[in-house]
Amino acid sequence: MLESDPVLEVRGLCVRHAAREGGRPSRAALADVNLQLGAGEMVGLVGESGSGKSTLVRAVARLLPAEAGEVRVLGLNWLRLHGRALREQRRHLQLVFQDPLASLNPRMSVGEALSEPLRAFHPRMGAPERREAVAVMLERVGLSAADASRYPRLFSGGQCQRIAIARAMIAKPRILICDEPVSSLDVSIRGQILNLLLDLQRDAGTSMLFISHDLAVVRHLCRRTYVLLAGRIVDEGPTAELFARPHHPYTLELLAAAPRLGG
Amino acid sequence: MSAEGAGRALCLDVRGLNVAYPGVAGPIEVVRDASFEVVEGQCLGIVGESGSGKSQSCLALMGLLPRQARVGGSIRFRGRELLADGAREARSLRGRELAMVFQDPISALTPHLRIGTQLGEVLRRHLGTNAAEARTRAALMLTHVGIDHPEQRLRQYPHQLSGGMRQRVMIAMACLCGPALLLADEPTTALDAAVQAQVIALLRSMRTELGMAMVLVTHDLALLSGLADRIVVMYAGRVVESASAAELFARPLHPYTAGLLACVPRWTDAPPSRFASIPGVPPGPGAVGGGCAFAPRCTRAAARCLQSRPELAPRADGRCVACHFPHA
Repeated sequence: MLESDPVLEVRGLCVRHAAREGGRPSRAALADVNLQLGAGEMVGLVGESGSGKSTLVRAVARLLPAEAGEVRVLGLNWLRLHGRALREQRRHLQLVFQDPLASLNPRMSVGEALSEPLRAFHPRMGAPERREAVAVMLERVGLSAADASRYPRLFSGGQCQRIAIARAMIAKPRILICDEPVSSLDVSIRGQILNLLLDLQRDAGTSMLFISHDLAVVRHLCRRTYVLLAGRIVDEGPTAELFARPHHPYTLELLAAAPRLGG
Repeated sequence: MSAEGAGRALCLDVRGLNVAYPGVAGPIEVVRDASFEVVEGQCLGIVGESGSGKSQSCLALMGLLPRQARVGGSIRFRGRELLADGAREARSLRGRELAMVFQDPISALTPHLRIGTQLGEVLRRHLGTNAAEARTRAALMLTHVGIDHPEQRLRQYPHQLSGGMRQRVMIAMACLCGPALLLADEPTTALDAAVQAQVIALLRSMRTELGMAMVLVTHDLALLSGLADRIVVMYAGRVVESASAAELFARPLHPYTAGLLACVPRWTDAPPSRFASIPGVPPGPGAVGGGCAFAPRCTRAAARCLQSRPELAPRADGRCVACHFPHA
């Protein structure tokens, strides 16, 4: 299905949340999840809350332990990496979360927040060079170089999401995972952020996994889409085809529930 | 007054509502001169983004604004003024004839009280119902909002219910005393799409069955389509357009309304290469000067828009818009 080797490949991923002592035995949060992301591809992942979307993101990014399976990033099995080796590989895969204000440290200026990935992934880079890179990146996401000295609380939700995107993209990752990146933003702002992601994707050739409950957005943004239900991928395919002729009854249900104008 | 509402009594009549908070550099106005009305049995949608004043207006109706808020203007509910000084009557109406459903049911329900206790309290407090009867009526209302095994649910705590179920309990609680007007502030924002559709369907059927009027506050225009009779669009604390839902969707007059409608991705369109959006960001509280608050983001704005603020005025065709250069 992919033209080249995938940059991200998830095979048979299982995640089980730890059971509470004396509580019921734990339930599988993800069961045998298979997913591929090609170079420069934009892929959608849809499902309702509790379906395991965020668990999948966290397990892939090694923020949660996986029970079984493989997560291959640029061919390397991430689940086998530890310590320094993992930290070095993290530059290839970055994340953007739903709530931009919560994902930025309130006590860190925008410039410091953007410098952090550079310090971590390019330790030899000098301070002037770093400042220059931060200024370029801020302008790239529609802010100004002068914003580097300001703090997150002075920015609106949409601007904070631009900062979070800038921080994720500044070390030039090959893969960007966006977990509901516009759900907490005003309707009139969402398009700005989605267009920014499209531009960055086109210019940098970054592969994006776009997680959303908004099927209309996924339909416009992603060429391929996976449908997650209760920790399992139940449907997948080219987005247009999938939404026109869903294989799984759950996809049909999701489509029927999507709010639309004139409905 | 709207054409289709003519001859029918007003359930709610809000005139020149102002809400302001004390600030370091003078009061910060969050709702300015907002006027709207709801005809008995009809549904009014209030649409706006963060900072538009839609939720503040809603809280003002319920008398739930914090103590430091300064509220001005008039709110008449079935002919009775709710903003009058020492309106003891207003307190007795709220919760009984005027009820509200909140955005987040988990924080609106008391976590350590059983569902049955919370529903029973409403009936005892407002109608003086005895415990046994309150329980029967609470169970009946739960069945009404589509909850199975109501007796069992009454013994449960809020955390034992799913998000959709909790919102159904909230709706049941609001409808227990048979209100004439139900306020719902973003009632489905915290819910999944499929559950959202169910809750909207429930609100629609409850409204018809109980014959109540409704005010639905939302940021999502798509939600109002097929539910609201009239829609009021708010921006930066003011009403900028008011029309019947059909007119508003078919022919928005205010550039902001038109922009919001364009921002909703359509299913019927071929996928466009770009997403529609409105440039800039909504103004923060108190950040509005003398001109039109939307002018900095508006493609139709001219010098006049920055100098003088357009008033919300009824036009010859009966529609209301606050814009110097509305769409034709």
